[in-house]
Amino acid sequence: MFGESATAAQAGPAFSEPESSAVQRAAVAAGFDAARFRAELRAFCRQQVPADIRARMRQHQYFTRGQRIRWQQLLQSRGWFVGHWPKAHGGQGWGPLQRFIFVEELERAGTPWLTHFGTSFLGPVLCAFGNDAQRARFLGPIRDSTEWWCQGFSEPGSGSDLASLKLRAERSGGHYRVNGQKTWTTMAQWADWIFCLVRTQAGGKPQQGISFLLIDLKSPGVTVRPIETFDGGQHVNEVFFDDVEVPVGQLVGQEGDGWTIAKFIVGRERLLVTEIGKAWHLLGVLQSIAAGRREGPRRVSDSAAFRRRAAELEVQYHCLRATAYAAVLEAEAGREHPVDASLLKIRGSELQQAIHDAITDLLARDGLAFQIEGLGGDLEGYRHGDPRLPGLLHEHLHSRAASIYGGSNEIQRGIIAKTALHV
Amino acid sequence: MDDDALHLFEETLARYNRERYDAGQWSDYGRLPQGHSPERWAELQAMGCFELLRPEDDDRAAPMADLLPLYAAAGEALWREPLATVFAEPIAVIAQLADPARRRALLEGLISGERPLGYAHRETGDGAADAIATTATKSTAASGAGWRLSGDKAMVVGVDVCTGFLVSAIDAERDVPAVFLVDAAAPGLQLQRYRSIDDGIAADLRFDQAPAERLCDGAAAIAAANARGVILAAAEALGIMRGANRDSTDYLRERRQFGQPLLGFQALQHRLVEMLMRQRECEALVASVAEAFDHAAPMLSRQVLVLRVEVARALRHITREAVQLHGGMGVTQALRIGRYYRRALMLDSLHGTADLALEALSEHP
Ligand SMILES: Cc1cc2nc3c(=O)[nH]c(=O)nc-3n(C[C@H](O)[C@H](O)[C@H](O)COP(=O)(O)OP(=O)(O)OC[C@H]3O[C@@H](n4cnc5c(N)ncnc54)[C@H](O)[C@@H]3O)c2cc1C
Repeated sequence: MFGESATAAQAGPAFSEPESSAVQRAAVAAGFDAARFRAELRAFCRQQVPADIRARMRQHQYFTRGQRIRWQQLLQSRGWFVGHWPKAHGGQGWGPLQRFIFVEELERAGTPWLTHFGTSFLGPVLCAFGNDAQRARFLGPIRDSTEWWCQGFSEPGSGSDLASLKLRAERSGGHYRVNGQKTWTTMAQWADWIFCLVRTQAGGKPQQGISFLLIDLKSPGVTVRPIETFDGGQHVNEVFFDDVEVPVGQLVGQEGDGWTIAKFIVGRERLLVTEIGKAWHLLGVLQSIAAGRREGPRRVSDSAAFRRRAAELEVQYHCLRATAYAAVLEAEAGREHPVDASLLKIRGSELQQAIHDAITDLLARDGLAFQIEGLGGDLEGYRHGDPRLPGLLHEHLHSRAASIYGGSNEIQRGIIAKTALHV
Repeated sequence: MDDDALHLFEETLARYNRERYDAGQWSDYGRLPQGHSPERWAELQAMGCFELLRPEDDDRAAPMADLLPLYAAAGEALWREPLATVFAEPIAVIAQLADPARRRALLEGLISGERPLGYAHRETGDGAADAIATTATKSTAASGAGWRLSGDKAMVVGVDVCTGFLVSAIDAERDVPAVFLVDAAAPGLQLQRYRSIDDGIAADLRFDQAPAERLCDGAAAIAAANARGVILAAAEALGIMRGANRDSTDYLRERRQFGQPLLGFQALQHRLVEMLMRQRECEALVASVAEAFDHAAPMLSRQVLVLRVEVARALRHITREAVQLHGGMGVTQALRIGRYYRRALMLDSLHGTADLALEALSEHP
């Protein structure tokens, strides 16, 4: 049984789902009790999510900037938001396993997506590559969610071929002058800062001239322009830089370290993008829609055709979860299987999309209204169908991007070919 | 239409799409209060498209095969105009009427463009395919004898041009389904408009003792109307497939990454090839089922289900792949690729998902 509603109805078999002994052993070795940690997170998600956020979770609505920040701060009140940072830098020193369990449980409960840009990407980058001044200036506000970060990697001409990026940063005295454009920047409209891959040197191997620069979005010459997406949301943007002055102290590492840092980030991202907890949550949504809908004398959830389709998804889910934990345990032991990272990205996005297809196919029977006014708050006036309709359709459409962003599934397959086939 | 005429018609439509229906115009039309452009709608009429519906001599309906190019053009350019209210289900229902004079009058209302009709059959609720909870009772009240309709119908399209609705309901006198005509301005009819997933406008209808005219018995008329809807939706889907495949091929030819056009990567060529093969298969299938429909071939209902399964799957596959192959651009509103994707969802919603059609096919051997 999947999902919050389904488990509640079933007196929680999923909550008593046994922890594999390999996970238990690895947790003990890492100094925590996996089952107890999960129980603590579940209780927290059941009891501590503020009512306004929970209301939006139920309807799959959009969260405001303020709601996301409040949720992150609540998590940090327990030290969890940056639990994966080293103790020396204000974290709890969690390894990959504890961090994975943490994210899985939050996703299972359907809580707001943690904006990873500061906490998962930049924080660890500063710990590993930054200098003391940078850590002192930037880590605190990330931990406390008082500064919002976004990720400036992609450009109009450089998507899959990231190394061809062109955003120029030319050094003059104590500053870099930055000119050019980033695009697809998630939540730049809410961000205070952006970390960018910039080109500090032309010629040579394209990867060599790339550096990692932190830029205040309030700097003169920065323009953020929203991109309209087909899911009815507003989350990606173009960011333009017109002679923006950036102090050289905001360069992370040395000039030319950008590519190495980018690979470090991508490596961190991979386990998280599996979103296995979200898949579990969505499978619960699917079950609850099927159970609440009749097909003649029977419930849809009792129809053989529906059950078979749900069973197919369940197989995919368990297969992915097993693979994800195998990869996490490898990472916990400091190793990496050449196939894992890309596999998780591919299968994670495929599963999420397949579940959304199944959900939408059920919703389609009542007519696919798309009242996007209902995404960000209460719908005034007439509402067609299930109150979750706008939110679930928005999520369906957005899930199409899961196989595109963060290195497309085609690029991931190329990576597996390169590393595993030695081509 | 003979082949030459058909070819000419296709060229006319292609020119129409170039001049009247680019992405910018599409968005402009959507912002109009009706959700479509009354000018374009009138223009289709002026071009003689509606005349395609005029049957020869004693035929009850003109051949549907002649309409396939029109629907393909609509699919490719994502027309917002409410074609269904004239070309799709109403024609099939009217063909079932026993009274030739009434039949001719209603048909003339469609062809003249003066009386388009909405098709109000789907209901939410228990969700069984074709379950009807709406009822019609005969009133003898002094205030007006005749049929009175009560119930709810969901997601009716084209409501802004309709002068009346074809409503399926249970004839309470005989306890059989029948089709009724309710005037759009009838007392006791309430209409709630909303945006649909394809960025169009749909409405839910509530009938509360609304006066109605009983047109014909239901089962055959509803089956024919649904079949006609499925076949024309398949023709529309062909247009979407054509557009999505062409756009994706053009995009990968233009877009350079890693120092070369993306179309150079064989992995991507094979993806496009699969999309093209599915389009070709659907083209053949649509033509054959449309012909079977025009000739009232035996086993038609199964052929229509087969068509629905295959076209729904192929369309979802192609639109999904088109989004993926466009990368980030595929999920923006700037290109029509994302709109194709959403229209594919809408067609599933209006005509049934592949799952449902496959289940129907497997349950009635
Ligand atoms: C919703 C969303 C959020 C995003 N958020 C961010 C963000 O916050 N920050 C950021 O920097 N970027 C972000 N991105 C950008 C994302 O990383 C890029 O979209 C992605 O890298 C793909 O690049 P592209 O869109 O230019 O597609 P292209 O690179 O043009 O690819 C087009 C198609 O060709 C395929 N392809 C490309 N090369 C090959 C090859 N060699 N072999 C086979 N197939 C190939 C691709 O897989 C794709 O299907 C986001 C994108 C989306 C959609």
